Amino acid sequence: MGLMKVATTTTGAGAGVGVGTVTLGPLLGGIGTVIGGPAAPITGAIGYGIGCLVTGFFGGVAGKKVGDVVDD
Amino acid sequence: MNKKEKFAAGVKASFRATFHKGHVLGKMGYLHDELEVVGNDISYMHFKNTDIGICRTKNEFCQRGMGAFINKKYKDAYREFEKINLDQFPEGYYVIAICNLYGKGVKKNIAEGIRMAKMGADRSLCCKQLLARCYIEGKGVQINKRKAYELIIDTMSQMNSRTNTDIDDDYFMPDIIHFCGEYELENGQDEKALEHLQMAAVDKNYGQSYYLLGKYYFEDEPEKAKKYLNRAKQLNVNVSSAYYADERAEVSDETIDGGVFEKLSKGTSELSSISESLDNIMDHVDKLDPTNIKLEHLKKVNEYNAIKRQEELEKLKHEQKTLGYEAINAVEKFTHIKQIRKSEGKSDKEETKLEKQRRKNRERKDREKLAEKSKKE
Repeated sequence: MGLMKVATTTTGAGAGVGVGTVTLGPLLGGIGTVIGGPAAPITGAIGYGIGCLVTGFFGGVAGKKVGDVVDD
Repeated sequence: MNKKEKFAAGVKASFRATFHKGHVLGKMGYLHDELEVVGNDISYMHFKNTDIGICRTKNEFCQRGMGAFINKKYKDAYREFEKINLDQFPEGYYVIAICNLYGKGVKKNIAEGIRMAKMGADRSLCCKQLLARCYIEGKGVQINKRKAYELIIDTMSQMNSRTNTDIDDDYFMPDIIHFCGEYELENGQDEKALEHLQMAAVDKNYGQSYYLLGKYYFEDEPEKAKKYLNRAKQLNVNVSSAYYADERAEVSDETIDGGVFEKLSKGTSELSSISESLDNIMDHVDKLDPTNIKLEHLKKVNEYNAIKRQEELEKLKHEQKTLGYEAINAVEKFTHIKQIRKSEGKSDKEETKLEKQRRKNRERKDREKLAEKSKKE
């Protein structure tokens, strides 16, 4: 993996987490809160974290693809 | 709090968390505290099948029906409940109201459930506390906390004054005693509130009441408050980390580097050399230019390719040379054989004459054989 690819992947992942904190994170946080019952704070926080990380992962994948194109 | 309100609270808290801390784990921790209120939300209408045991009765049908209800045979239970003489045994209103409110053994009918509870409320304490719960949650009726409070207080006073009631004290839920304490606190009746909260917390071991007591004493009597809060934590209540802020501050002051930075500051030879080399590496990394790296890499690749091509050419030349030598050797061999034959006195022409004679002889013999064969036939 070249320097450019590493740079684009990490940038993509960071941007994905950033986007996730305002999109999928709150959505899953809300769902986790509903299904949690008395454990709502835990399930809500976990849902939020998962939401952020999932978008982060997809951001990283997209960044890697961009890196591939740049390398070519 | 219904599902929609919980979802909205979760989403709102998540957005607040997004703009609160720098990293995902910090946000999650903040969100955990923000959702504490949702986790501590008490569901007054929550009902397990064993909760029917609150009803104390001498009626045979009611007892049999309750047994079936606890064993989750709701249809059998409802059939038994229908046989109860409601004028003589008002607790029958309660069990039928429960079946209608939660749809156990009969189609869910909240209005019918409320009607039965209201009819039995005058004579049955079970019905009274059930009606109070409906007023708190607004199930089938308008939310009326004052009315709910009055119903619960009346129930509790009758439980204390009368011996022969239809309510079993062991099954009497602490959540509605807690509700009374909370309601009194809201209305500035602190003494009464503390009495009720103590009753729910100490007598019934109710975590939410411990938490509320901890919150109440937090500013004036922190040690007492800490005891209550710790007990609430033990009873799985979501206690906010704000009440443990001092302890967290102490923990965060401690270093977690394992003394590495201390050793570095002392300047021991090994660590200092490592730090210098690390600095050098960092400087080199900073100076790195991706375009230059690419160009240098391409140069090296071209040089390598050129060397390979030369090697291949030399190989080819060598192969050609060896082939040439072999051809020369073959010619030399041929001339050598010719010379030997000449020395033996045999020419190529003589050999051909002999061969011709042999061939003619073979042909003649073949012809003779064919003639003999034709004669025989």
